Order: sequence, then C-alpha cells, then structure tokens
Amino acid sequence: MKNDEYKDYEMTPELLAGWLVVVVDDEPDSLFVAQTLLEMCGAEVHSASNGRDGFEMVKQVRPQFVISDLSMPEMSGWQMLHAIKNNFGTRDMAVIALTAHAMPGDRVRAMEVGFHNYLTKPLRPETFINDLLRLLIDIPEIAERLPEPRG
Amino acid sequence: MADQPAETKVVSIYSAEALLALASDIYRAKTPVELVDGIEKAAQNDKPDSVIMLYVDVDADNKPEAVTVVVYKPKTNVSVPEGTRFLLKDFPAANLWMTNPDAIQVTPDVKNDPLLDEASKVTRSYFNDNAEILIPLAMSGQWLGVIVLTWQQPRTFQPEVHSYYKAVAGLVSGQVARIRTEEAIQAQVTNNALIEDILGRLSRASDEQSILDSLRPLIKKYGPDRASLSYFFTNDKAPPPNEMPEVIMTLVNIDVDLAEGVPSGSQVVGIPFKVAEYPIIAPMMASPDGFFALEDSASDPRVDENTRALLKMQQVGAVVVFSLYLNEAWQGFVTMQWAKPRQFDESLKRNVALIRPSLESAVVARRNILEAERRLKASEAETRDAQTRLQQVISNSGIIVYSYNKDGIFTLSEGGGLAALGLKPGQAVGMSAYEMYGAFPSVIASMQRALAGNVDQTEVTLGTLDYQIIVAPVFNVSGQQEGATGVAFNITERRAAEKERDRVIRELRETARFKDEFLATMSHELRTPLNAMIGLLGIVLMGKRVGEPDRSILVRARANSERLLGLINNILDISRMEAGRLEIVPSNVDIRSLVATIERDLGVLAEQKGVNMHLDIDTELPQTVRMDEDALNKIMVNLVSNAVKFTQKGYVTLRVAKRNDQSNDQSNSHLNIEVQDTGIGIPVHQREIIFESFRQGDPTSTRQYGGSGLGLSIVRNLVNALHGTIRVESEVGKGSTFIVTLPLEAAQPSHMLPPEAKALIPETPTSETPSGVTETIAAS
Repeated sequence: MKNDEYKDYEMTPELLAGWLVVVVDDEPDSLFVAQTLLEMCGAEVHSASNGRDGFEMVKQVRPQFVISDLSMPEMSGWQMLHAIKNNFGTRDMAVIALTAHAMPGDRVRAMEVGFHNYLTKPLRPETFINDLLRLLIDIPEIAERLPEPRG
Repeated sequence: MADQPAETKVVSIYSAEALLALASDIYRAKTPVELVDGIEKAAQNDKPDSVIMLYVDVDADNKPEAVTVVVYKPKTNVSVPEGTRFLLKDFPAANLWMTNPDAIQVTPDVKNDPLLDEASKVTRSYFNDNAEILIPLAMSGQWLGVIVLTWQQPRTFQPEVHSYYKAVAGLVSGQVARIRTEEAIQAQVTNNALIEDILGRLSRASDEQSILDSLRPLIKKYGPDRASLSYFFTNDKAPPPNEMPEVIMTLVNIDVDLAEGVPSGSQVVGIPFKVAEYPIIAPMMASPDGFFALEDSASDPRVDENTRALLKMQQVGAVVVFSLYLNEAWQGFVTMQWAKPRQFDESLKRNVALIRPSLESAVVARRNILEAERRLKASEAETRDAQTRLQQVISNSGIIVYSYNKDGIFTLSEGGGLAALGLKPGQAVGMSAYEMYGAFPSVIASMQRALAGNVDQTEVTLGTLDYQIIVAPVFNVSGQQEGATGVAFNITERRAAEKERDRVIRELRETARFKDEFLATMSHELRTPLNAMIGLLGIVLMGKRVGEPDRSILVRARANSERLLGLINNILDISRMEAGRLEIVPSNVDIRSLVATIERDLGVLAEQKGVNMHLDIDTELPQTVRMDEDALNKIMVNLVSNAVKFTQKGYVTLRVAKRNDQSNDQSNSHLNIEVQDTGIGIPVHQREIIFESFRQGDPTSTRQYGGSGLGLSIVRNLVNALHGTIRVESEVGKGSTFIVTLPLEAAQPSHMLPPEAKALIPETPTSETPSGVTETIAAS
C-alpha cells in the first residue's frame, strides 16, 4: 500500500466510469463476479476465458488494467503476461493476478515475473474494488483518474 | 777211631741254595705271579697247599687298612677271587697278625692255637687252612703286602722256619715294592689317558647322547651295567641359580651289558619325575662334593626303607651318582648302576672330579642351545598360530587378499571371497591379472596405479558383484617396488542396500512432492467454488447491479456449494481409504434409481459443456442388487463426472448390465459398469498413474480440466474393497472407456431371514419379496 493512511474508495457508478478493464478467467462464475463488481462501478469490462483470447483482447482494447486468473486452458495467465510484456505496445500494461493459488511464494513469484500485484481468491465482494485500486494507485495514469478516496 | 757214636746230623730243609735260587727268580720276576712261583719254589720243602699273595694298603698312619688278593694259588672252589679287596675293619681278627711288619707269624695248628679266636678258626677251616705261615712284606717299616702259606693239615715246623722265611720276605719285599710302584705308575698313566680321552670326547660332544658316550672309557673301567645322563628342570628350563629344581628328566641311557633279569626300563627316558620321587638324589645333593656312592643298596644305612625297596625292585645293587652344577645352578647328574653290590675305591671319585668341569661345561653349553631351540620353536609356533589365525580369518571371511608382481602376475590369492569369483585359494597364482581381468578396465587401472607406486582405493564391478579394492605397493629391502598387495571387499550387498535406500528416499521425496502438489491443487480447488459462492452471494446482498436476476445468481451460488461439498467428500473419502478405515456395508440397492439421480445431477454439467449424456441400462438388470450403495454411487459418479470433465464435445455413455459366469449360476454373477466418452483419451504410459492419489495423467491438465486427481483413486479403492476389477481402454484424441466389474451376491430376500437376522440388516430404501412384488419405501 502506497498510501500512508488507509482510505476507502466508495463503490459508485462514477468511480470507474469510462475505464476499460479486461478480465480473464476460465471459471465462468469467477469471471461473472469480477465483471459484475467492476460494472457496478461504471467500468466497461471485456472478458476472456483463456490467455490467448485475453492477449488478443488486451492488444485490441488497450484497457487501463487487466485482471487475470493464472491457471487456464490453452494459454495460462503466466503465458499471457509474458506475451503482454513482450509486446511492445502493451509492455507497460498493469496486470493484476487474481487466483486461487495461495501457497507461500506464489505472490512473490508472480510479482517477480511481472504481475503488478496479486490478489487471492476468494475475494470479498465488499472490498474487492477498494483492494484492487489500492494496488494500482502507484501507477500515475491510474492515480490521476481516481477521485480522492474517502478518509 | 775210637768208639765215637755217629752224630745224627739234622739236615735243614731250608738251605742257602734255595735262597739263592729264590733270589735270582725274584730278580727276574716281573709280575706277582712270577714272584709267587719263585716263593713256591723256595717253600717246596715245606710243601704248602696254597700260596697267597696280598697287597696291603695302609692309612695315613701306616696302619694296614685294606688287603687285596693279588695271587691265590692254586685256584680251588674255595679260593678267594684275585682282585678281591678286604677292608681290615671288617675283619677285626686280622688285626692280630697285621701288627708287626717284621715278624713272621707261624701257626702250626690252627684249631688249637691259643691266639686265634673262634671266628678266625672257623674262617680258616672254611679255607682248609689248618696250619699257616704269614710273611709280611715291608720296606723300611712300610707295609707292602703279605704272603700267606697254608697247609690243610697241622704240621711241625723246623726251628729255622722263622729266619728262613724272614730272608724270603726280605728278598721279595724289594721286588714287590718295585712292582707295586710300576703298577701304580702304569695305572696313573692309564688313568691319565682315560681322562684325556674323555675330555677330548667331551669337547666334541654336540648332544646328550654324545656327552654320555664321552664317558664310555670311564664306564669301561668301572663296568656299570647302565649309565644315564639326566637334567634338572624348573618350568621347562634350566633351574635358576640358587634354586632347588623341581623336575628331573633322564635324557639318555647307556645299557652297557644288560645282566640277565635287569629290567630295561628302570630309568625311563624323556619322562619327567619330581625331584622328591627320585631316590638317592637327596643324598647326592646333600653331600658337599655332589658325589654319592652306594656299594650295597641292601645294607647301606644311609638309605631309607622305601629307597631300599625301590632299588631292590630295580635290581640296583650298587649305584654312583654325581651332580653337574655350574653357574650356581643345578644342571643335572650322571648315574652309574651295578646290578650287584661292589666296592669303590678313591679312584672313581678322583676321576669324576677330573672330568666334572668339562662335563658341566658341555652340559651347560648344550642346555643353552636347547633353550635357544626351545624359544625358537615357541616363537615359531606362535608365528604359525598367528598365521593360522590370520589364514582362518581370511578364509572364513568374505574378503580376498592378493598380491601380484611387477608384471602383473599373481603371487598370492587367498580368502573366502574367492569362491564368489569361482576361484580356489591359490588358484590364480602364476596367472596374469591382465589376462584374467582384461575385460574390466577399472581393475586394470587400479593395478597400474598401484604398480606406479601409489596406494589406491577404488570400487569395481565384476559382473553382478561390486568390490572395494585397496591396494598398496610392495617394496623390497633395496627400496625397489616388487609388486603390490591388495584386499578386496565384496560390497555388493551394501551397494544394493544403498541403492534401495536411495530408491526409498526418492520415493519418499516424490510422495512428499506429490502431497505438496496435491495440497496446492486442493487449496486451489477449494478456493475456486468458494470464490464463486462468496462473490455471487455478496453481489446479491449488495443489491444494485445490472444484468442477471437474483434467482439465477443464487442458483449459481448453490451449484458452487455443491461442487465444494463434492470436493470435501472426496478428500474425506480418500483419507479414510488411505487410513484403511473404509467399511463396506451391503444393502439392497435400486440401481435404476441411483442411475437416474446421477443422470439428473451430472446431466446439467454435461449440458453446460455441450456434451451429450446417454444411459444404457440393461433390461435384464434386476430391480435391486446387493451392494454397498454409497460405494456403487461414488464409483459411477466419479467415472461419469471425470468423463464429462475430460470431454469437450461428443458424448458420455453410462452402461450398466449384469453378466453371469459361464455356469449361469445365479451366485456367480457380476455387475458390469462401463463409462465411455469421446474425450481427450489417455496415453498408454499414463494409464496406471491416473489411478494414483493426487495424480492426474498430466499435472498440467489439472489446470486445464479442473479436478483434484482424486476421483479415479477413490474409484479404484472402492472397486478393490468390493473385490471387483477396473480397467481402461483408450485412444488419444478419440476417447476412453472405463470398465468396472463387481461381483454380486444374490439380493437377500429379507423376509426369509429369521427375525434376529432381519434386525441386523440396515435400513434399506427398497426390499424384494420372492413373489416379485416391489415395495418402494420413500425412495428419495
């Protein structure tokens, strides 16, 4: 957490209005949850159910950030990240890993290979958006688009 | 002439001419016999019946001590043997006539002589001595000898007898003196020669036999029947100085002339006796010069009863022992035995004293050699023992000890370990190691390193056997390498044990790794439906959102909770199975109803994926079968859900049928369950792995297809518990078919059982009566 004090972002339809987000998960229910929560905050969510489709989508949509599961068929989250980072146009894309793999070292490993940060499932729907933005706030382009958080 | 009466002239038989004749005989006489002949001639007018010459030995005071019969003429059956020596102290009566060397003693009538005692008279009558003349021979008052003339009848002697025989004595004495002196000198010379001979032999003597043989001249002179050489021992060695020895061992005998009846084993060679058990040793050791002589064992007062008896038994009449004592230690002794008693003069003792030092030196030198030999033998025996023990150790153990020379030729090949190579000890000696082990470069390399002067330790494999070899170079006294010596240990077993241990460790590590993977997978699997549940329910609770109605969201949440429940049950099942706590509880199972439930529950899942699900239930299948319902259910559910999971498109078919064995015997029938899909298929090498806990065929497929890999493991455990079989047929890319057969009992008609047994049957949803009427009780 970059902020010194813990402040909340309130989930309002204006919070992420106009934002583009790509969510990638092969589990339809997980996908639905993440997508719904983002849409509740006004984001435009594009989803894919495997890494390959996710990569194409990222190139095409150029979202503000990406949320991705790790274990997926055809192309995993790891592989997708690798492709994103090695693609000139998307190499600075922030990708948050959202995964049920919660063994010690998973987080560190993910951040070492280039995930911007790491959230574990199960997520808490009430705090998911806030936790997500807290992880992204260190990116200037994202921080400047966000209102002041509630104190 | 006047009438003078004629004088009767008594003519003396003793004439001067006779004396003259005697004188010339005497001067010519060289020997006592010749002397006696002369005397006999001089006494012919008296005609004595016997003439005896005796030498007289005097003591330091010139008193006669002993007489020796020198000549006894004539020899009769009562004559005393020539050479017999009498001590005068044994003949007190003789003192009477041995007092005056100058007086001739004439006894005309022995029996009536007033001066003789009875004993003397008896003695003389034994010898038919009834008249006698005793003629002492002396020079300057020194006794030399005595001549005795005896007559068997008393006679009257002429008055000149005294003077005549005095003249005879005077003539004879001188010659006797000369003869005796010559004899003494000769004896001395002879004795000296004897001593020289003995000393010479002793200086060349090399063993006990030759030491004793050196005494043969002594033995010849004194004539014992046996002589022996004995050593003293204490603790198998020469006794230490100033200590009494413990044991005697006679080492050699000389049996000079075994008299008839003398037992030959009277001194046993080589057998040790205690000193105390040996008669006459004590007196010998007690006497100051170590010399002990027994002239008559039967009558000598110095000998005790037991010893006397012993000597009598051994037929030892006379014995001489003298000790060998050097360096203040008792070394041994020499024994000489005579079967008959005899007299010893000083000469034996003197001679013994002369030879003794050389004898003692020879004995000590010999004993030193013996001791050195004994020590050498003992150390050789020790070395042999050590060698034998070492040899035994080498032979009995499984090691091999070997040596080879610079050319690689074996010079030693020993040890119990050779058997494993098919060799006998020593068999390889002379053979070339290069030839024998040319096929094993590691052996050759080791040999070459050792021959280059290095101590080498290496491990080699000969066929199925592993060895550890330690070889060291061997150098001769000049420092040049002669070859090498090595030991080889068979480490095959140890190696095998190490491999086994490594294998077990690997397996354990793998198992640990699988469990770690399982844990990670399980964690992931459990979290996924939880995430859906929490998220979906949270969304509904938050209220405002777009999209789906609440109800369908709740339905999705519910489905995820079922999925979670299924996972948890799988985990619990597999733990129970692995802990061996699986119980089989048979009951009457309605298969059709079970299958219908499966179709309903899993059909939704299949439909979602776009996979068709078919059922194929044999019409011959009875209404109920006797089986553990839970197990049967799980088997089918797991197989079908697996099939759905791994199939992207196409169909999944569940087939259930009853098969009878050939005998068509109702009691030997099987339930056949087949699940066929058109999924990804299973490669050959994974068909066994998939049944193992925590494993899917391909670990990455967990990520792709979900699932924990437990399903098939649970299925197999259950099939085994039901005594059934499971197998799989598959083609990659086309699909798989899992085939399970479970033996059937005939369904128990419960009403045929006695009431007590009925009570034991668990509650069942259905029961069958022989009449075929089915009662369905609240089937769910």
